Amino acid sequence: MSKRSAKIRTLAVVAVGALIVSSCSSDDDNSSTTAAADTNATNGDSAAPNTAVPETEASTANTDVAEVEDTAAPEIEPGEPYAGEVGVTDDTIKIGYFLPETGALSALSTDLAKAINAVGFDEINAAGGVHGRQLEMVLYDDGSGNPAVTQASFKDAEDEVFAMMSIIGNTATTMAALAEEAEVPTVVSNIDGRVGRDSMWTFAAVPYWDTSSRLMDDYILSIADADTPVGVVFMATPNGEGARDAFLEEADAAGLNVIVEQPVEPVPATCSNEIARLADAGVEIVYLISGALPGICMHRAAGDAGYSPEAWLSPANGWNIGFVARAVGGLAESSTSFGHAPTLETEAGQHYVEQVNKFVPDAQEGDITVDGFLTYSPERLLIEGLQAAGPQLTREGFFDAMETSVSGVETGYGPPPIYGPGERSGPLSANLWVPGTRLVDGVDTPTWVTADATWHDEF
Amino acid sequence: MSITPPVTEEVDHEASVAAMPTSWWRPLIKPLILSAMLLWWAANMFGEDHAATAVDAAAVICTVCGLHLLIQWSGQVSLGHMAIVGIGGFATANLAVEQELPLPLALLLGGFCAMLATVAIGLPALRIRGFALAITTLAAATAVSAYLFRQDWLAGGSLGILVSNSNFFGFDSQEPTSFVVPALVVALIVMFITMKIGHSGVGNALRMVANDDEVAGSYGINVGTHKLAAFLFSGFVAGIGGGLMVLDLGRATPEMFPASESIVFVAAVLMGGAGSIRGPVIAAIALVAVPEFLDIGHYEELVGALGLLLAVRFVPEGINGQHEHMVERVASVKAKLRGASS
Amino acid sequence: MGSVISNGLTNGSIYAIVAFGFVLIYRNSGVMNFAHPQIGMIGAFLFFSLWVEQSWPYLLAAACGVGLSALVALASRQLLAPQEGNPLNMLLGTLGIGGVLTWYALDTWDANPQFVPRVAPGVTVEFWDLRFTGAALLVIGALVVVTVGAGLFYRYAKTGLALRSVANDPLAATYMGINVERMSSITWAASGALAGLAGVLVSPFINMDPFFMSLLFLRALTAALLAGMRSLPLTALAGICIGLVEAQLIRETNTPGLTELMLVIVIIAALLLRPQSLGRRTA
Repeated sequence: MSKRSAKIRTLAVVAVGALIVSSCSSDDDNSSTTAAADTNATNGDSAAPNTAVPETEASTANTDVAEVEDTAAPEIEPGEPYAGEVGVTDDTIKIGYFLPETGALSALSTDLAKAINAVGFDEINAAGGVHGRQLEMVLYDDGSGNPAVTQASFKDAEDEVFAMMSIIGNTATTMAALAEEAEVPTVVSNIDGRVGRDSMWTFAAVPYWDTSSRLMDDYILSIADADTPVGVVFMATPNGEGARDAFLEEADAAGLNVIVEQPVEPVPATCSNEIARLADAGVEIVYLISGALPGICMHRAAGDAGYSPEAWLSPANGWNIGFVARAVGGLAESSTSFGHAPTLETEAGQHYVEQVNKFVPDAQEGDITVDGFLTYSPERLLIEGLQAAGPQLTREGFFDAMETSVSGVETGYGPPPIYGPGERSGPLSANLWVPGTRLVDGVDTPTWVTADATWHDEF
Repeated sequence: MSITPPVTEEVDHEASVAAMPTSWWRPLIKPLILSAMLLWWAANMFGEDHAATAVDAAAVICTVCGLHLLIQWSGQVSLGHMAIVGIGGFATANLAVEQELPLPLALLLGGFCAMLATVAIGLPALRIRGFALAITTLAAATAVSAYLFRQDWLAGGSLGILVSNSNFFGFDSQEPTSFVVPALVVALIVMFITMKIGHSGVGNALRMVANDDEVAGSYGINVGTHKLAAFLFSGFVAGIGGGLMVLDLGRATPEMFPASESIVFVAAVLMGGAGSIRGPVIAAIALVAVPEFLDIGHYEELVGALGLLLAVRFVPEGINGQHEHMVERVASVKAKLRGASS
Repeated sequence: MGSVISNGLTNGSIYAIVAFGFVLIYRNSGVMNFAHPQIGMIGAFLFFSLWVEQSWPYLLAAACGVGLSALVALASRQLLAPQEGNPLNMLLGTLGIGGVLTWYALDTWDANPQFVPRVAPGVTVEFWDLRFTGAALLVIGALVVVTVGAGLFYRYAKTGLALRSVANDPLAATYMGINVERMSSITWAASGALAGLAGVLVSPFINMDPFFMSLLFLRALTAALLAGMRSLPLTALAGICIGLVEAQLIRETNTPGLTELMLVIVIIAALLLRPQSLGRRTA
């Protein structure tokens, strides 16, 4: 009897639990947190008339930033009616915007922050929109990069909005996989390089490590000669490994002398031992493909070991290795620190500052940051793509436009991201930090430099 | 002399029928009815959120059942079971995508792959005991995460492995409201099998081994085989748990299986207490469901840690222990009442 | 070659000193204190807060950090004492304590790493092929001092002898009039102090976030395990060996995750090759 009763008791407990739980939930709807008003799927159900919609220029009149030329819309057979697209109506294009409404980074979702994020959309809407349609931002929660929350929000969004955007790296990575499956265009600021290369439907505006890596050989040749020993130290993640591969490919073609290649982790033993290896091999230029923490670790270890190469280079976005070295008291005492990080001091950056001041008058100086600029850039990229896709807007059309005609480089928002085949060239905008050469308010500050570089990419 | 007629006994037919062994399916009737009720509720009354939670719970229950058998019934502590869950998950994903096997088969074979992987730790476990084994499993799990889950052949490229097929016996594995039924069925089967083992001779032998393996050995129990079998079983069901997770999300990435999360399973087992799997299953459900329904955001980790601490301090025998106390108290109250009335 | 030795020695000393407190508790009460890294972490954070943020003198700040860790360890012991006979429950309890400490550190200082400057920034000692910074010498020196000190303490000091007898045979020790309770408290406090010391000494080497001690914990556990969880000098030796092997491994190979693989192979090999089983039989 005990066998049976024990089994029954267990099941009864589980069943009772389930009953209690389900009775609380029988009215539950989906609980995604859309901040915008309730939106219904806006599949264009009526065929829009095949008449030309008055074209509108994207950029506002008072900007030095290059205006994007209107490229030809995808070929459409005459007489083929426009069947509409998810998230697109005659007047609006809905864009899903993923923000950390909950979770550790929820401070990035204050009302002020949201208003500043919306500046890119405000700017184009004030100029008449894209092909007469206003951009509408629909907010979704990504749980501060939580994959489960992001996935749930994505499933809600994919039938409601035309395209998606996100500002957090982890979110972008999760969304890349989902966007690939669902074939929804996704525009992000930064994404893991290898994920970015593997995902056709995700477009990143700010150069990720891959791009920087492809430009680094040109930069090295501009500061040293071809037989200077180079060492590449990379984070052992898909991002880092992809960037390493990209760098080695270009370095090989350029005839650089790469003698050491090693993975790094921000653990003291790893850093001290890897510094020893670099020092013993006589590496003069270290290309450190990592974020801030391994950078700090390596700099400290280098200081401890008395190792001072000619230059430390890094593709760090936002975490400029120069700042990193300063954070640890400049212990590395190395000569040049080169980090590929945008600043607000370029034309594009200044344009952004102007727009924030115009549309968010409450924003103080401290509220306008490079991070905000990094979210503005993908919005500009999105707009370029929407314009190039033409008035008969479809997801496929947008995809084609992004692949073939959008560059982003003329607007100064960064070198062309890696999507679409072909040869790209353009300015590499970077922060250069040479200690003691530029003091601003007594603080060692990087200089903004531009170098031309070319790279090749085939898919 | 008197001739007494032979006394014929009344034959009690009812008693002799009751004394006959019942057919094997009779004891299953009530559990099956209850299971069917549960599944009907799950299929029809759960909202989407609760269905997703139930699927998570199903995966955790599978792993916890195996771990309970390992820790409480065979006395071997594994602090690294998440690695095995991960191996099962990746195996399922690879089989579903590369070999294009139907999902239920991929799930089953994923469990077997995890079971095979467990051999690597089950064999050394025969000679390594106690806390040393615990630390070894921890180290092994960390090594698996750091090294094995970075290999492309197992873990796929940067996007992990995407499982696009979602047909599981006609249910949609990537839609929680649909997958909740097969997931719960799998969990119930695992629970049932674990329970059967526990009540069988094998279970008794395992418990003897857990108590004192030298004594068990002297009783003629093959200690090594039993210990290894316990590890293999726990590996198999943990692999099934991992496979369920992967099928539910539709993808397998290394981030889904961090070694440090293994301790959550161990906590569920210990909070369940020694004894039947009732305790750890309830603990597992609580572990999954409570954070879902208690939205305290920032304080979540604190409440979890405090809860653990208080449970250890004040409820050291776990849920099973509390249940037994309750049963005893009820029994003594009943006895008192009976005594009072007689 | 020289750098392998100096790096290995430094890093190995770090692992050994993190392991010390853990070994102490285990051998005296059979408890696996998984809160050990977080107890050290909280002391290190107090030290950081006092020394860097409030500019207290180094020694005073360090002493406060060590003291806090000792107190926290003592409090943990009081909280969990009733469960002392049940090692699994103790393990769980220490995990709960670790979780609370982690939450507190995250709440007060957030997850971004803090940077602890070197104590003696310019000091480097070079001889033969070896090179040690001031902070490295401090760690190695502390290791030597604690090992020697502990050895002397256990051999000659009254409390030390008492602790040894409790570890050997608690019942007999009670009959001898030794207060076993007090000995247990002393052990935990000492273990906490050692954790705090490790945290303070290690903090300049690593990006100090609330998880920094946990990163080192696995290597420390390996050292402790290899040393049989009984002997401090052996733990020191084991830690240094691990540091040296790791240094060589990283220098010669390019594959990430190899160190963890090496650790687990070493653990299994060492445990299988040992003739006797380790630890208490009922664990």
